[in-house]
Amino acid sequence: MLVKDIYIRDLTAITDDMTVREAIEILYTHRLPGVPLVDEDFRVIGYVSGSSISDVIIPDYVKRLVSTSYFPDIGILAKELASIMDSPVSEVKKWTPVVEEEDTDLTALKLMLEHHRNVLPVVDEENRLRGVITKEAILSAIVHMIDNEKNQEEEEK
Amino acid sequence: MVICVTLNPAIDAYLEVKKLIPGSFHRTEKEIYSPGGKGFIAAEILMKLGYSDVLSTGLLAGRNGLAWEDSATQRGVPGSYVYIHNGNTRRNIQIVDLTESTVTSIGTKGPEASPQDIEKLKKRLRPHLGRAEWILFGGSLPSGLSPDTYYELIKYFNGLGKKTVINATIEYLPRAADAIPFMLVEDPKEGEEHFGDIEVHSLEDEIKLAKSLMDRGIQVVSLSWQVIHNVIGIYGNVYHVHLVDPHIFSVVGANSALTAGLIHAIISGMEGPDIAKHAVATAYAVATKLEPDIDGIVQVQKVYEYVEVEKVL
Repeated sequence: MLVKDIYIRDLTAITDDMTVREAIEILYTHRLPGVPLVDEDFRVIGYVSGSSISDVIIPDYVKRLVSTSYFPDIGILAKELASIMDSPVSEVKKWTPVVEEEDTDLTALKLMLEHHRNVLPVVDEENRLRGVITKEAILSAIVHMIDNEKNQEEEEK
Repeated sequence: MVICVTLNPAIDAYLEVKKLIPGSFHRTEKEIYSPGGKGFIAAEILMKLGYSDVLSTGLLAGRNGLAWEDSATQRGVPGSYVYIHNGNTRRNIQIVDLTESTVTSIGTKGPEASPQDIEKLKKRLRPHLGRAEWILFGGSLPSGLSPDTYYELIKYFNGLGKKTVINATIEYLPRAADAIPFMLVEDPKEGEEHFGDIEVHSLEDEIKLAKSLMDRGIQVVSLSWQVIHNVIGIYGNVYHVHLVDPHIFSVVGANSALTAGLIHAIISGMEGPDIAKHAVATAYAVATKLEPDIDGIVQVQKVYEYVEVEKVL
């Protein structure tokens, strides 16, 4: 199966002229774990998510601790977030692998597994955002494929 | 690219009950939910006509907004929406009484938007503007926005060199027309017989109105009455377009389809009467169905034979 058969035409994106505050608002209001970051021509230049933001505001020493019981209080996060809230969103972006419409679902799934991602941006030949593909969309497409094959076998019987 | 903006979308609910009795509980016999809004419908029809470089956008709010977006995305229409914080996206509920053959409609009031939300929308559209040639505004305005909103948006995008389109009911059009959009499509409203200060009672009045709007610089004008009869002005000429022996099921979305048909025809390089025929055929194809939808361009071409175009000016 190809990416073009299963990807979601959701063009919600964060532009590189937005602030971290605006990015958080978009993530929250759209109930999305993360969205692609695009430049002024809608070309994908990264990915911004709740995790990429919390990675920046959680102090390194807390990250090194194995147990979250050492986490002091929410105030320390508030302080860190306040310091970057009105900064450009590029400060919290992460690199992201991308796929194209003609790539296979297997290519997308492999990239997701290799890079620990649940969502990948789908781009055109000029790297412009066309939508996103999710692990759930791939799994759902595989379930449909199994069901169709089963139905076909039964019809042939 | 065609950007289709719906500032006040709604979830359209179509419910059939055996008999509607006020004050009692009803179980539906049939129910259909669909993402409604003139901009969205136009975007979806453009895609069905074979033009896929569209972006549906607009303002959404609350849980209805999330449900609307989910449903719109599932239909395969590329979208990017701005969420506003006050209220909930509208629901338009049509209850059909199968015994009496009556339709009862209830519309929820919808969210309250602010000028800041319009600024957010403009910012959201910025990375698409390099590729967008057309910007269509469809439908009503949510509460909280100035009646000048369409005027200002059309002025702004005209200034960026875009072909602007307004498809709305008459209450929004005279002011929007002052901004000189490229295209103006009236969504007919029962009992309305004026356009601003201009009285419109007859076909001659409509032809005069179309001509006067084109004289002001609007390139394409469509004034219609439930798809059956249309006055369409294109680049200075006026056509009377009507349907022969029509079988109309529902006119919901038909004018959005007409708008999509006009844009599609122009993008495809059609000329005068052919543009008018294609647009009305698209509207008629939608009007023969319960949902505002078409199967594809072949369905539109099949109904060409029911559309008569006469040049009247």
